[in-house]
Amino acid sequence: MTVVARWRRTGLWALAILLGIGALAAIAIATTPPGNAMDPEDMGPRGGAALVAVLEQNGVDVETFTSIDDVRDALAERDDDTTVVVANTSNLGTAAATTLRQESLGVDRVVVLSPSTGQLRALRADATALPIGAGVRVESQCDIGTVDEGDSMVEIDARYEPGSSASGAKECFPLTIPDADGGDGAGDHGAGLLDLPSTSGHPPITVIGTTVGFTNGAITQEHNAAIALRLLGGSPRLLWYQPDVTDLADSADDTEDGALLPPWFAPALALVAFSLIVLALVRGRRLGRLVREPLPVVVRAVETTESRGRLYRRAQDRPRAATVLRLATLDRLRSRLGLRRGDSVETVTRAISAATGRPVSEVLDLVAGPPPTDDAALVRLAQDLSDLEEKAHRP
Amino acid sequence: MALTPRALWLVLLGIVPVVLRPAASTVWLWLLLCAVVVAVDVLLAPRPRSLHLERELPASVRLGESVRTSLFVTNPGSRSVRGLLRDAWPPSAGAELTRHTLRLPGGERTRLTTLLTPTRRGDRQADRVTLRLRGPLGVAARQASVEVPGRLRVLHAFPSRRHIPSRLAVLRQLDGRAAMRTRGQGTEFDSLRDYVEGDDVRSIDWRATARRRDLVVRTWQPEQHRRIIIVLDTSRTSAGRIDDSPRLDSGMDAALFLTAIAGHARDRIHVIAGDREVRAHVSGHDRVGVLHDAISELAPVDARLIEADWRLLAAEVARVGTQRALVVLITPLESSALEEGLLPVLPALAARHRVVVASVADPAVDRMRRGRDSATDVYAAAAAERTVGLRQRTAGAFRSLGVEVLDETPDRLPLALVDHYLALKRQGLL
Repeated sequence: MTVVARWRRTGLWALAILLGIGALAAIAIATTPPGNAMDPEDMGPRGGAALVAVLEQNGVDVETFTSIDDVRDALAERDDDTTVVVANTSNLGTAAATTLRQESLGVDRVVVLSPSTGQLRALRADATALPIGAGVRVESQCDIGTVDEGDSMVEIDARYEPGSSASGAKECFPLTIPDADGGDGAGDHGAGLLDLPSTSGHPPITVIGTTVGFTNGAITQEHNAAIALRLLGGSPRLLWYQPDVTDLADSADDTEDGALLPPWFAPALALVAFSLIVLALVRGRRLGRLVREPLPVVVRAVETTESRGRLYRRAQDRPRAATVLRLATLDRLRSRLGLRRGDSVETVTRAISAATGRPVSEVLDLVAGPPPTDDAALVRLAQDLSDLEEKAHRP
Repeated sequence: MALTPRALWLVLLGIVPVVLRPAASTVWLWLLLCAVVVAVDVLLAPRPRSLHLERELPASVRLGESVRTSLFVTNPGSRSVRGLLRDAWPPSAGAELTRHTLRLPGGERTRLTTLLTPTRRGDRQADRVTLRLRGPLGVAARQASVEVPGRLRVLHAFPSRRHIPSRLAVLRQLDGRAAMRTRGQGTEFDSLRDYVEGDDVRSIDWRATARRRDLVVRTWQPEQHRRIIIVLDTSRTSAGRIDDSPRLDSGMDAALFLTAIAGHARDRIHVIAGDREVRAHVSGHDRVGVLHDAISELAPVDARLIEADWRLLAAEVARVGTQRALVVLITPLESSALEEGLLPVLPALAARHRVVVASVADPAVDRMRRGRDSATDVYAAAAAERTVGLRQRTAGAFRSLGVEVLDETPDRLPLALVDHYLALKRQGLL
């Protein structure tokens, strides 16, 4: 195998491995989207199907959406007696959040589960999100209608602090750190639930710092179910908005990149791309054409003989090979021993026997015996013939 | 036109305005500026065709030796010219450093030299000369390719020429001109001279001695002005390679060697090369001229993948003349090709001339013949024996027609052929 062919094969293998890895990665990305908690059709522990079922039993009309465009259409159709819940905010882009805020000005309530500060800002809710990093159990310590004094919730994983302009915000489930004397150090560390009254910019918003508190797995614990039903079942119609990745993409350009990269980066990148084209033009222009040359044929003279040998071998033509070798030996010994071409085999055999000192029968068997039956016998015959010739030359 | 690396840096320099004014329009404006600069530079660049090019090239070179070809570039204009020049040659011309930097002030002339070491026999045509002349900014260049014809004939390496002195010594002995003062042993009567001590008594001419009353001996000289016709078979069987050299080249070596020796012996030589047509026919009796012509004429002849038309070649031999000649057929002993092509015309040829068939044998077949180690080896050995047997059968058929057959390996064939010729000459059988 030539070097080129070997490299080509290595390259093909590398390409196949890369394709395999790429395919696996694509499957992994396609099958496990990040943050799939609270899927309204998922019956598993992370799904939200139980809550949807209970809400529908209580006469609430639940409509589910995955795209902000569909939510906008639904709200444009009717927005009174409606509650909107963003059940999973991991895919809620700021553009989608802004759209949601603009379109939901007339609804009864917007419930957002565990939003980030950026998402809250897009919703014009003046509050700061502070992730806890783990789900904790918290007492409500408030009475705001949807939450009663004495309620408790598990899986609170984010806390919220209202900003200075958020007048009338009500905090529930305050995060407490036990004081040294055993009392509660309430109020200073944000709350698990924030109820923001409507302003000119946004409808009433309830922010709950839980990602998985209302899932099938966790809703039966403590008062989670009651709080969920009170929050989401307040209106006869519920728009369940479960954003998918396309709504996340809406926000990628204008906020994240714009903030991180200098403004000249994109044009500079374009310039570098053009310079690559120029590089191709600079390097690609040949200094004159390729010179053609008619080449002579390359045939090895011994090729036909080698092919004939392969032909004998493939056909396993031992009789013919043996005959040819015997005739050649006889020819050479005839001229060596001074015999004529026409002399019979017996004459030649007797002369050989005399010259080499080997018995006539043995020599006769060697030069005119039956053809060999297998390859080993053929090799032996060939070696014996050449031994005989050598002996005849140097007795 | 062509761009230079400077054009690339010019485009990249656009980073500065882009940082100062980060907008897409800046990029477009900068690219437009670059395009304008490149266009202006191309327009201001000197025209490659305005330069005057001349080539200096030796007519021929022996294979294995190097030769220099020079290009004289004249700048007739007043402006200085900078750029690149490429003197393109086919790969087997073995050109070294074909790219030259050109820096030529107005009205001056320069010489650019390319070293050629050809790797194959035959004619090598120079390809176009490409000029790339830069504009004053060095951003872009005008490029053009012009034909500056040149042909280099790569001659046969003629490796057996190192044997010429030894065979010439043999020839001088035959001639009686050797330093050893031995008697000329040819069969053609030369002259009578006085007997000196040491002369062979058998060569005393008694009749002349009786007339002169003094011992007189005859001197002899070898036959001269005999015709030698060498026929080189350039058909498919000659294309086969033995140790990376075609059989034709080995045969040519033998033909040239015989031409050199026979030229010294004052014989008339014809060298014919052909297959289905006569590719070359060199003749003459000026010994230097005919060897030179043969080397030169045979240089571009390559083996072709067609069958030889021996009827045509025999007719070409017949056209040389009816005088009895030594006809040397240099062709591989391939039984199938020769028994169908050559054998039918050989009797007529052998009846009129003395014919020798010289064949290049393949040492690889002999090596294969001795393989006895494995079944594969033995099958190959049987095939080799078969090949040898077929060659012997063909040779036997030729010999029965009175044709001498020489079947030798490439390095031995020229010597064998010339020795055979000298032997014929010694016996006066030409």
